[in-house]
Amino acid sequence: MTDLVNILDGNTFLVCDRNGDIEPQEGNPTGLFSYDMRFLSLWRLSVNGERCFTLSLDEVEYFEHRFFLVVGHATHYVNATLSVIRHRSIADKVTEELSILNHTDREVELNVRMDVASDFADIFEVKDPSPTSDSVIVEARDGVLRIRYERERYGTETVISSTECALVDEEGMTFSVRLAPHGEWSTTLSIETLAIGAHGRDFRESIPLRRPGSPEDLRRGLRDWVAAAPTLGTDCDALSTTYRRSLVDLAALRWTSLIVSSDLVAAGLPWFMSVFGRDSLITCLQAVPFLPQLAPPTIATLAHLQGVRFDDFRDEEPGKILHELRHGKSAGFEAQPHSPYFGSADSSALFVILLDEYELWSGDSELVKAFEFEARAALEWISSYGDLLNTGYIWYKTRNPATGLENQCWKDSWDSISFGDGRLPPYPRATCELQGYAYDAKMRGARLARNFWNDPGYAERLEREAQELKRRFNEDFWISDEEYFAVALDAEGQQVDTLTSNMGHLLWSGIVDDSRATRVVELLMSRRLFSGWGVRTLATGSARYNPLGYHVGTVWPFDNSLIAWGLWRYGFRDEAARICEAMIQAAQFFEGRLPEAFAGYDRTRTTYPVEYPTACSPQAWSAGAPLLFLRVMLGLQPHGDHLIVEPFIPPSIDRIELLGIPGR
Amino acid sequence: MAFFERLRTSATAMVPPRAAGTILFEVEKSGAQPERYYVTLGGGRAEVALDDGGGQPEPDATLSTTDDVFEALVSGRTALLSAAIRNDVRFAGDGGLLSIANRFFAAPTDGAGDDPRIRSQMEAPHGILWRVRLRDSMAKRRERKVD
Repeated sequence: MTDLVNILDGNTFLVCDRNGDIEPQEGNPTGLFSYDMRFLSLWRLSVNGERCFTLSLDEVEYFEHRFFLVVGHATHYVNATLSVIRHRSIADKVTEELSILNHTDREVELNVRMDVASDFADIFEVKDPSPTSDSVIVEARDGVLRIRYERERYGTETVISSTECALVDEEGMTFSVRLAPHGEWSTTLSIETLAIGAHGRDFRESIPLRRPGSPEDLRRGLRDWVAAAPTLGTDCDALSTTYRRSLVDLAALRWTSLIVSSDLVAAGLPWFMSVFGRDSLITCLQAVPFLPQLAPPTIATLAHLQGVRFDDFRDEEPGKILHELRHGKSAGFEAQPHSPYFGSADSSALFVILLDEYELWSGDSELVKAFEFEARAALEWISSYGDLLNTGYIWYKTRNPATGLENQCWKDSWDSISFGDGRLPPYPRATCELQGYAYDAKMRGARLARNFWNDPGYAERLEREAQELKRRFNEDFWISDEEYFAVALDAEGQQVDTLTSNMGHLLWSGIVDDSRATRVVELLMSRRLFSGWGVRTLATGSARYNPLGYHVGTVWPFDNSLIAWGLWRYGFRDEAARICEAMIQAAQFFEGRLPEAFAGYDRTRTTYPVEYPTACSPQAWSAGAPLLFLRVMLGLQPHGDHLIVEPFIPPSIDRIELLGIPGR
Repeated sequence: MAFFERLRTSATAMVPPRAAGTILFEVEKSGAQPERYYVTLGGGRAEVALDDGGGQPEPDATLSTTDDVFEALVSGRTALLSAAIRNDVRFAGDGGLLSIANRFFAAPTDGAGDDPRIRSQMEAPHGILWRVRLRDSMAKRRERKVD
């Protein structure tokens, strides 16, 4: 596998080799993608039949790269007579300025060839390839190459043109170039990605939508974005690097919602460049004190797409907040359920939690009033359809065994929830953190009902339900002989007895009885869970523990950020600071960019954090984690119109200063 | 059309009071002029007007489709967003109103649109005895520990 390079602007991204070429790679989503469809699967440059070799790569911005190449293979030394520069950007469309420099004192004739193809694969077909009978139509005329895919009324098209005259055929474009001694030649290639909508035109023409402008606009936008966030002053280089990286990565992951025509954050590159209820909500929660502007469009988009009916295929119920939204042909032709898919049992509670947290920071009561209807429906889902077994807990079991998700909590891989001896519990399952979120959502919903919805009766009902849930939860989930909270209860009435990071989320929610907090913290920081870099998803000693298992032993930065927030909530500031410190130290190994997950090996064994092999990067809630670590270390908490600051900083950091915190 | 008749009476339960604007539904029938329904939302209510050539307000959003696709939407055989991705429904205007329109369409009628609690509780091995089972399993655990 070669190293891959990503370049993106929200809904469009390109994954290529280090020389700028796109070629199929098994298991990797190479290509140009937009709205979950691949618009280019081959984009390969050659000069006089020879491929190019990379001298260097300048990643100017997330939306703009420069590749410096020479023609021919690398030998032990490079004595190139021709240089090639590919200057690529993604803004309104993809452009590539291709320049060739002749370093000799002779005139040269060149045949510059770009091989081009598109398979119009849906991102899910890239993930799990299967032979398809889909065919594409190629039209090469007047120097323009059009590659089209049509199925019934659906149509997508890639249009490639160039500023210099090209000879276009069905497999690419050729330029005949005569280069003077020490001369230079260049052309700009444009790639447009179209999807047919109303009036037979690209669908974006029929809806009012923010369209990205030029790379200059994007550059200005990024500067404004970073300038609007608080300014960090610290003696800790690792902290300032990761802070800056987080702000830029969250800017890069901005994704334009077609529903509300404004920007929210996609979950991660390359597999998750879309709206995910859980990921988007948690990222907003992490970022509220820094980038509060992310919350309103996220709340609005998720509210607009709230579940309204029962639909087994989509695991949809009235009031439920979505899990995943996609726009590709597999969602359109209903091979996959993502239009939208509702297979997450936590997003409805997290939706209410974010609405409240955002108001606490911003004082934006209008938003809380505007989405009262949806917030009440989400709260209603928690106590009705979410409680599949009528036991007062949120349960999940997919009604779509073919393409639905087995585990509908954040640990959504098939083997994430197990007994200590490795057995998998039957469905439905009620994982512990879901109940914590439900408790928090009810408490926060009560505050909203009392202060903004003018419904004190509803507030009292929610508070009563929350207290009953807390009492019940501390009885039913507590494993009394081992003294910790079970990760789940199952349909058989068994406590699923593995020791997991989920307990940290319980602290964040406030559902843990005060008398048990010390024991919970002791276990979270024990050698079985704390690796030295962070809290593992699953404790060592469990049958399914694997330091490289996706949800069964790895360390997730986002998970640790919520755990640190939980430790802060219960007053365990020293333990919280230890997690923050370890994570910031880990970020140093990734140039400030925390990956989705890293291996659960003990810190003393590896001395550096080993990245989980196929992790998404950048990933929104990993980029959001350092923001939450900062909040926790500084002890920031809004209280009415005031901001409480109660810092507790790890010993390796002397000074943290955060200026210009946006607030009420 | 019965669908629009029902909207008049049941919109309050389906539509957030915040939603405002006019959605034009254009339903094409082969060989005939499309039927045009104007649904105007405000204060949680819906007014429905059939275009009879008289003056109608300029819509904020337009949803155009054929009668067979519309029938599939009404009966829950397909979902609005899927149909829009397939271009079976052409959409223009305010994207927020598309999601409001999505609230009007029914659940699938072939048994795939039932309350999931009914099935879960029928299939659950212990029904209302679940909590008794939980207490038993917790007690057994404690006993094992003591042994």
